Amino acid sequence: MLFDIKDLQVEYTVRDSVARAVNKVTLNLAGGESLGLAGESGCGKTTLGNAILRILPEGGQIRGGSINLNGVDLVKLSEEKMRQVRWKEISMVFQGAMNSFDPTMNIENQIAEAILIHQRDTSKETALERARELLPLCGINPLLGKSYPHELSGGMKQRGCIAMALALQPKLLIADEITTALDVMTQAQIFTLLRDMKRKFNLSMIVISHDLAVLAKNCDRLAIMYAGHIVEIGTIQDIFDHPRHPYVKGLLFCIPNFAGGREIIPAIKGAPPSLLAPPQGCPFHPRCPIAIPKCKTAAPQLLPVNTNNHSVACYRKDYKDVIWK
Amino acid sequence: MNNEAVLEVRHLKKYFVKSAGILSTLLREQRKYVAAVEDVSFSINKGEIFCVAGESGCGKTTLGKTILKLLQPDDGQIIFQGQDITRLERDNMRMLRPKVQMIFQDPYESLDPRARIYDSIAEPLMVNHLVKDENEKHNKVIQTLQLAGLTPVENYLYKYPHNLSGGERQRVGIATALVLDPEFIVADEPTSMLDVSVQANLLNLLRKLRREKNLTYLFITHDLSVAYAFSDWLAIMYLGKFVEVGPTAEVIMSPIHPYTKALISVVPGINLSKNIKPIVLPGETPNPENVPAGCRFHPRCYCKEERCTKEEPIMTEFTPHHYAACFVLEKMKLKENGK
Repeated sequence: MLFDIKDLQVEYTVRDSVARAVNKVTLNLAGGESLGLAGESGCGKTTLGNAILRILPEGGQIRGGSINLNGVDLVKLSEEKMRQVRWKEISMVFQGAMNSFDPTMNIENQIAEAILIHQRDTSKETALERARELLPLCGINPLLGKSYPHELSGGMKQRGCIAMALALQPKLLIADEITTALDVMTQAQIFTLLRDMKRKFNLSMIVISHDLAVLAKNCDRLAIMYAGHIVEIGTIQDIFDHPRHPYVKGLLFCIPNFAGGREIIPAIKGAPPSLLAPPQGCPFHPRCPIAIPKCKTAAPQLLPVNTNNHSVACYRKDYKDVIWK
Repeated sequence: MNNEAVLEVRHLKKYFVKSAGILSTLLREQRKYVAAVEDVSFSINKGEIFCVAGESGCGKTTLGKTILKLLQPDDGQIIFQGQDITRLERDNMRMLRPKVQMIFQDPYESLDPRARIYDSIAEPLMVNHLVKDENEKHNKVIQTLQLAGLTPVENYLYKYPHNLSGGERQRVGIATALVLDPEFIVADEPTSMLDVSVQANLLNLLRKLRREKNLTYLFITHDLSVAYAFSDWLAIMYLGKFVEVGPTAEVIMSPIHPYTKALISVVPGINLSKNIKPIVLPGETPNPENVPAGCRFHPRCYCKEERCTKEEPIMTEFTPHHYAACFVLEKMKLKENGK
């Protein structure tokens, strides 16, 4: 197993109160595997991604658990050691990353700079050469390497970000909502690129998105988060064909799609809880139509329902009747 | 369903002047124009939902704004309930305003942060002198809040936008549009910033309002799956022009134009068993300052011919009410009919 997170807890301190954004999250990832991380805004998916690289914003802290990469616990590493892991072992493409380029520097120089910062013994020439190799690999015409960010489209800039993230051949790439601001056609182009890269370099990926349909098409496995918890995790087929958690079942209902009837079913009423004052017990129970008294007192554990690593955190996972209509 | 057209748009055009530098102004170079909406025609009957879909920059938002005369059209006609409003002056347009309303994309930006929900919703009533006294105003606001699903109303009346979630804010946005009892609403990406469960609730609300108030919508979206679930008619827009128009189910299930086909094939559907092979188009949408000659889609088209690079195809009816602008497919259709 390449990568393995156990009971990870991340908290933000907001004035005097504490928000638990990631709550006892456990998941693992094999080499060359891609895991989709889905959930609605504020569910903790971006925090989880940031926690893996230990780049939490101020006020955020890992409060427990472990993040194992090839047997090394990243939580325990010193900041200096962690710096060596970033980019070389794990790199990340951020949401809106395409707008984070330095406007005064051309693309190939920026990619070279990323290489120089994380691999100090490289010469400037080698770094530039490597940058020029990466561009066509990521579908950018090498002639565009001299372009400045304002001369490129969103899709091109996002390709540049991917080139930068892959510059040091990391084993794991975290992609956080990388196509959210792009058109469907560009989105399809970017994911085709990522799938190629994954195959070519045996890259493992964690793809964070609010869009379940995008993840279904581009990942091997899927984890659904709700209010800081992973409520269900499994293969794409398991999650889409045999969802067990009432939240996941409801979420699938809400997505308009060509295959379903032309109806919009507003399944889940209400809004997710505030992380500052989460409900007792299962975080979903206030919106769950099949909650039982037990759900209100103790949070259910994420437990396997088959041998295929499909796990669900719900006391009523065996409920067969229609929940949402 | 009655067949009274609420809105008819004929050959509508909207150009923007490309901002010229000081040098070219001094040299009196000719101004450059960018066509955001180029020769668009359609009509919407009462109680129907007409959806315009396309990628960013295709001109769909400009189209919506021009129809509401928030932008002045450059050519063509806009006929609202039988009245030509294309050249209507500001004062006369004001009489019409209550009947046509817009719901905006961003619920975080479109509400006044310093106004309580009550005041935001009451303001259009005051501006248009539609209520006689405080009591009537109060009742109308409460009614509208209930209609928009913001219940219990006491929880919302005296809150500020920052107290509300994104979905609630968008409901307030809908309420401010509804308070004037409009007949026609332009909804510009009203759910694109919201989570799916919230989106489903809002789309359902818009549908319920159509049923109860016989509202007519022009719905603008980039999301074809939302268009499919929500609308009666669907137009696909590319670089300022419609390339295909028809009944929504037909456009989605049997698309004609190569662009529509490609677009539909890359929408991540969640049905895994029925996998359509994705047609990933090369390159990007051309800059509207330099629209390609001939068919504007030809540089990215995977079934183009010589003729496509020279002539521009016009909208042709392929099956009843289902139009598309493409030479290649037109020829194929002629062949089929000839057999």
